[in-house]
Amino acid sequence: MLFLKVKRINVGVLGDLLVVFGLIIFSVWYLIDAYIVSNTIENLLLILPVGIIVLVLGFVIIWRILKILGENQCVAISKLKGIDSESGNNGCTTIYGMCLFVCFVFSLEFIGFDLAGAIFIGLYLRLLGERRIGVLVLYPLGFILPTTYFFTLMLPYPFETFLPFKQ
Amino acid sequence: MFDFSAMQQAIELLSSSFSPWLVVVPGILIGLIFGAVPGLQISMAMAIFLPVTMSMSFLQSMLFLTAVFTGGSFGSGVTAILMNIPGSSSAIATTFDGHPMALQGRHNQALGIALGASSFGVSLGYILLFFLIQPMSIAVLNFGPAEMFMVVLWGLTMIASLQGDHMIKGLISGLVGILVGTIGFNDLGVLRGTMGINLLMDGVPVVPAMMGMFAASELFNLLGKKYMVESDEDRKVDISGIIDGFRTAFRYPVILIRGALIGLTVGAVPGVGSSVSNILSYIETKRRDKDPQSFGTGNPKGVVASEAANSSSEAGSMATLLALGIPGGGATAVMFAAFSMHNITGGPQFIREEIDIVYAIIFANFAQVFLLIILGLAFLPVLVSIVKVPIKILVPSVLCLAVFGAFGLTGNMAGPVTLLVFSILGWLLKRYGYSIAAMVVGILLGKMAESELLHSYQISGGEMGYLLERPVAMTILFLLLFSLFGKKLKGAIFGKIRWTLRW
Repeated sequence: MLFLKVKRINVGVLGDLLVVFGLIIFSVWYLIDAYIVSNTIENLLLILPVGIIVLVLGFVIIWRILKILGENQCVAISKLKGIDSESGNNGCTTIYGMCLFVCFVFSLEFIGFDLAGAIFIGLYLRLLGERRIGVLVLYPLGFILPTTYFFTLMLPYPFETFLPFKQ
Repeated sequence: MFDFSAMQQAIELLSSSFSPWLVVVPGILIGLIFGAVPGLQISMAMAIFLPVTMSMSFLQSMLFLTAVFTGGSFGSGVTAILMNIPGSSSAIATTFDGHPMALQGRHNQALGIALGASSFGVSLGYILLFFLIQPMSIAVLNFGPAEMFMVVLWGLTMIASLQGDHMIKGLISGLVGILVGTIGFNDLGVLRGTMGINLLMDGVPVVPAMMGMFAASELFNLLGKKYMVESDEDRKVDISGIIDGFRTAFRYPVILIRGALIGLTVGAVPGVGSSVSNILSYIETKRRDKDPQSFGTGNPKGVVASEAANSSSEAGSMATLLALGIPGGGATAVMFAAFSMHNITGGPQFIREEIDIVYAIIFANFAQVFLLIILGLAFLPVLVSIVKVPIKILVPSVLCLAVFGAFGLTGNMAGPVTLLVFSILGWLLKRYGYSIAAMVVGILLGKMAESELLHSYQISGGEMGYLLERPVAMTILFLLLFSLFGKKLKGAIFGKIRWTLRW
């Protein structure tokens, strides 16, 4: 039982630690990149002090996480302020939803905004529990066709579509 | 100070024929639609419809374009409240309290408040413009990089007040936002942080990033619910609720006036405009309130502050355009193009020779406010119906619309990809208690802050004493420090006096 608790806590803390490390790594990389390109004061005037403060704050957060973990692992998750436990949604649904979103964005250029949008909405509806075939097919088409037509009319640059909308 | 014969001519221009007014209603509707569709910008609407103004008289074209501007300023607040997607950067602060109100089933009231505050902001902005157009145009000329940096610095202090549950996490997200905001070419032509991606040369597209962070973090969290507002009772679309909200806005006259003044002043500064004014107004309202903790949880005052400021910015940007011939932002740049199309150049000469036209534009905007109220009240019930849409339909549709809009903003895949990256980042940050709002403010102001700081550094040659020679910059710095520490200072002084008197 204790093993299970500790394991659950560590997953939450691991996520928090990963986010802080992500922010720190980004800041360090950005500082190095900016320094390599040009080490003049003008180039680093804002970036350097801001980057250093980010590093200091990042290490303070890591130290706090480790300190709280060291005090008592069982209460760690509630003390690590802000870890969103209120959303109450199924984590898997969110992850699958994000994966769908990634596929949707990267398919836009290849299959067109209209087709990609219709497939994305249809699959998302299915993911969120819609079972009626009529809704799964008709709603995506009913939403995407006028939307795509509106954007092709309004945008002054080429808008990739599967169907030949007149621009 | 006033040219009464020019005023009379202006009224004659507006009342002698009905034709100038024919373009106002379509203009407001176009603005409302473009403002309310995520990703479609007011400046984009104005640019698309600019060729139409070729066939119009100069006055008619100005009325049309200002109507689009007015409608768009309000429209961008609608999506900010209902979907947590600010239609433009001028509605960022509207999301902070507007969307929590919508989630609590107070969407009717929130939209009514936004309409009331926007109408007031536009009216007061133009009234002040009427009185102050000439002195304002002179004052704006005194704004150099040091002053602009002070204004941006004021905006950046917002990061500290958007800390959320955890101060350090709030600060770090705001500061990382500043770093992200500086990616791409800086003013010296140095390219940083693009990872070799050409699409990032101009920097991270701010609006798609903002849409991703705000919308996705909220939409992904809604997945466990059936509707945005759970209770059937609260999902009602209620015109009386909207009207009640409209009245509520006027229960906070100080916030309205302060917001409108901030909007007008900041809006008049070229390049800063409404994207900063709504944030400044929000910070000041939060700081001065007796219960600052209630902000961010659905406090109507937050919506009033933001909407009053972003609406009055329109009058501020018109001041610089009319009096100096300098477009302060995207929307006024399109108006500037309309000036050129009619062979007119803004500036002191224009004010001197065509003051009747200037007065006509100002008077017409008062009338536009009434039309905005009527059209807003007519269309809001339709827009509010979004809370009745089941989440399983709403989430993919809004995500899809946001992706289309992000493409519309950039014209290439940089928009959708930025939206995607910042959606995931926003969801992660929200899940682990980092302030998304602080990061968005950082991204928005980062480039501006670096640019103004660099110009100040170059002009001053690195001498800090340069600041002391800039009275306007020192005044802004003093106001900034006073707004930050004024309350504590007052408390300390009065506490000491009371302590001395007791002895």
